Formats: sequence, structure tokens, C-alpha cells
Amino acid sequence: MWSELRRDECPLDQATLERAYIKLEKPMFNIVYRWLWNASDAQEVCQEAFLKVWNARERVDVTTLEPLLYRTALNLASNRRRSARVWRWLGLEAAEEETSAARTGEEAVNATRLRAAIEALPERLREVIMLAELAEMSYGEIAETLSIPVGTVGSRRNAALAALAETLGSSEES
Amino acid sequence: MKHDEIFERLEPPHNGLARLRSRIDAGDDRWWVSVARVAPLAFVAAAIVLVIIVVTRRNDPIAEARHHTGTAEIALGIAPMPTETVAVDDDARTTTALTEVRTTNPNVAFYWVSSTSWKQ
Repeated sequence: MWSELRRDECPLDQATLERAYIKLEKPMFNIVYRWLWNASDAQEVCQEAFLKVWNARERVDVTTLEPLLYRTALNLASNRRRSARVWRWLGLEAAEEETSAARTGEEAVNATRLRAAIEALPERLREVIMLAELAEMSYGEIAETLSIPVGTVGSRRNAALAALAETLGSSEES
Repeated sequence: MKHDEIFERLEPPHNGLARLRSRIDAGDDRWWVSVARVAPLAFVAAAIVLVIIVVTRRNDPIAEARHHTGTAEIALGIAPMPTETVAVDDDARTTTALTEVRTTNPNVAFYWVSSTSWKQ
């Protein structure tokens, strides 16, 4: 899936970055959303990741642009989540996560359960399962993005699926 | 719960690309955003440290004693209990001072005896 951008040669130009944004916006947004649970925050983090990479464009290798963007977005999401927890703990920031108010009763209950199950996953498992399912990355691509061995990707994905299945009951497919 | 429900794909807010483009065009490094985000936290941390220092120092009799004597004498630490009764001669009254050093315990106070004529 990364071959499209790999045809491009260095250096990183705005057109390449914009093409990457069009391609990655939705999967990246969906992944980051599972860290922050707020659509505007998730979009902000995605944009920050692209801006951060753009600001370091002289040092960016275009052939590894996508893993770099994902890694940057995951780091930013993780930092923002941690920072939000600290602020909340200090009582200086109200919880801004979106509620399921617009959903019906049963949907809201399911959404809450689902969120709790995903929140319960350690970040190292969550990264792998979200990259695999929402970005549809291969094990090799996930391994490159997270700088971990391919075997570890497989075991973490299985562990994440098992944890979700245990928390949510049986999933029809995995 | 079905797989598609667990990994439901949400639509991101509109105009993401236009927003990104305008931020790039504006040369928005946004370094001040990071600073602004960290600054209040750093301020709170600094304030907490300051309060701890002030409270600790206020209750530290040695720190209080520093106001009454030179650093060299403080550096000696706690002196051994004298074997003889410390007596202030009538001749030494003009060169001796007694200062009360309060502690956190209201029932306990140290008395700091300073004398310019005392010899070991």
C-alpha cells in the first residue's frame, strides 16, 4: 500500500504531503480517535502530525513518509491523552470526550462497552490492532511503523483480539 | 459484537485538507502552541515546589538558626552534649546572647547560645 508514495523522489514537497493526507486522513483519524475519543481533537492531532513532518521536511525520507506520519500521530495522540489526564486530575480541564447522546439506548450502551474495552487495551496492543484493522496495514508495514519485529506484531494482534473478545463477548470474525 | 462494529470507520470532520493547506501556507510552526500547552503545567509544578520549599524552611530550626549566626558555625552540625554545665559568667553577659529557636512541636524549643568570649 505504500508503493504509491514510494515512486516519488525526495525531497518532500507540499504536493506529496497533500497526497499523503488525502490517502491517510480517514484511517489516521480513526486510529487517533481511539486514543482521544473526540473528533476535533483527533483531527487536530492528525494535522499536527502532518505539520510536524512538514516542518522537518529537509530531514524526511519520502520513502518512509507513511510510517513516519503514523508514528508521529500515535506519539502525539499518546502525549495528548496523557496530558489531558494530568489536567483532569488537577481539575483544570473538564472532560471533553464526546458522549453517545445522539445514539439510541442500546447503541449508547454498546458504544460505552466498546470504548471501555478499547481503553483497557495497553497502548502497545492498541497500536497494533488499530493499524491492522483501521489502516489495513500488513504485518511488515506495522513492524516498520512501530519499529518492532514482525513476529511481535502477530502476537500483539492476537493478544489484542483475545482481550477484546473476552471483554466484549465473542466477535463474529476477527 | 460484530467486527465492523468494533472497528467502525468514522468520517473525519470536513475541510481537513483545506485547513492543513492553510496552516502550511501560513508557515505555522505552532511552536508557541506547544510552549503554551506546557507553560501552565510548568508554572503549577514550580508553584508546588516553591510552596514545599517555603513550608519546609519555615519549620526547619536549623534554617531559622541561619538567620542568627554565620554559616561556618552551622556547618559544624549538632554539637555533642556538654559534659559540664554551661554557665555564663557575669563578665560575659555583654558578649553572650540567647535566642529561642522554635520547632514544629510547640512544646519543644531550642535555645541558641552565642558568645564571642567562649573558648573551647
